[in-house]
Amino acid sequence: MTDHVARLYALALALVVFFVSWAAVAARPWATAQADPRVAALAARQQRLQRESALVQQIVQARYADYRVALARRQAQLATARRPRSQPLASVSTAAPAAPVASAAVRIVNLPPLVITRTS
Amino acid sequence: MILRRRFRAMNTEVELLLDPLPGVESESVFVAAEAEFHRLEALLSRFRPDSELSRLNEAGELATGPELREVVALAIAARERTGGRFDPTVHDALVAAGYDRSFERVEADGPARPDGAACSGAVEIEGETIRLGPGVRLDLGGIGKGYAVDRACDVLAAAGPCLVSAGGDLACRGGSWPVGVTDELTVDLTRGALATSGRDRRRWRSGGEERHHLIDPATGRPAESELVRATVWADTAAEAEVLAKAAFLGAEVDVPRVLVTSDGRTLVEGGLA
Repeated sequence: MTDHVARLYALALALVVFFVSWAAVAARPWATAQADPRVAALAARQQRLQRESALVQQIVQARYADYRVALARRQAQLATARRPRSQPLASVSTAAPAAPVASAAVRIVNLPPLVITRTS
Repeated sequence: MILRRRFRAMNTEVELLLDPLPGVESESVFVAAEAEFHRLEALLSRFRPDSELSRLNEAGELATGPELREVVALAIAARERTGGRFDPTVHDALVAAGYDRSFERVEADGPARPDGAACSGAVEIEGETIRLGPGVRLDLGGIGKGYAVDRACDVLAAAGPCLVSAGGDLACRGGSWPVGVTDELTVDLTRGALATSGRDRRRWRSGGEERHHLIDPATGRPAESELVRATVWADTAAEAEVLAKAAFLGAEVDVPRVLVTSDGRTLVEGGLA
């Protein structure tokens, strides 16, 4: 092997070593050990928002339940006020819509049942 | 594909059916719907001494959570609407008839006991407080189960068309659900709820005399009816439960209904076709 060829091999090896070192430095392996404070802040914010949304949901549910109580009481008062004194006991007013509308929601079919209703 | 979940709550078999929307995590909504049943049972059961209802029955007056107030308000409204056929104050009449413990522990053939107890007692809701008249105790068994079906349906509906069935009470949100009413009759339910009340289940003998759980508030005793059972449609399961009981006691309810008589006839009424 001549000096010329040896110099070429040395140059190629030096280039490979140079680029591998450059890639290793550019990857900044030491930087991963430190958590990004922005990520930590985001995680904390996410947890706080989750807690707040659960709290808000509880409040909304409680208020909605209160509203339904008031509505049911009001409906009871209206039913009492509207019921004629001479109403025969055999007839019962219903909160459900009139039969033609209701019958659209339920109809007789000739299919095998998926579930059954039985005396509770 | 319809997914099913079965479990036991409120002393009955509960079945959840869900046609899940794409990408929905069905297991979590099943768990949430089942939890809703157990949570409401813990509030509304008269057989649990620590339930909010039992504490109210014990004290006669109690500042309660909104849900017990809501169910009691629904029950009071139902008593008004049905002219007293549905009455939440039948607690003592049920106990007198022998239904004084969870049904699986009621003696199938127990000794005779005097039955009959006054119903139609006073119930007032004022602010957060429920106040019962002297000696009045509430049973919210039926309407409470209907209420739980409605609430569980609300939970499941977020995940897709669904149906919740608890014994005789069932409700759906979306979809089309064939429901067997009798061996020969199936109806397709696309909206609202169905409930069945009757004397063909939850019955026992006391001193050789047959008793069942449907109390006629007018007599304070198990109702005598020409019907074996009544299945009624309504917007909600709680409402259907009320109307089914009223229909069993002879009221003409203006909704689709199926009545089965003692002599074996099946009457389809209220525009159901």
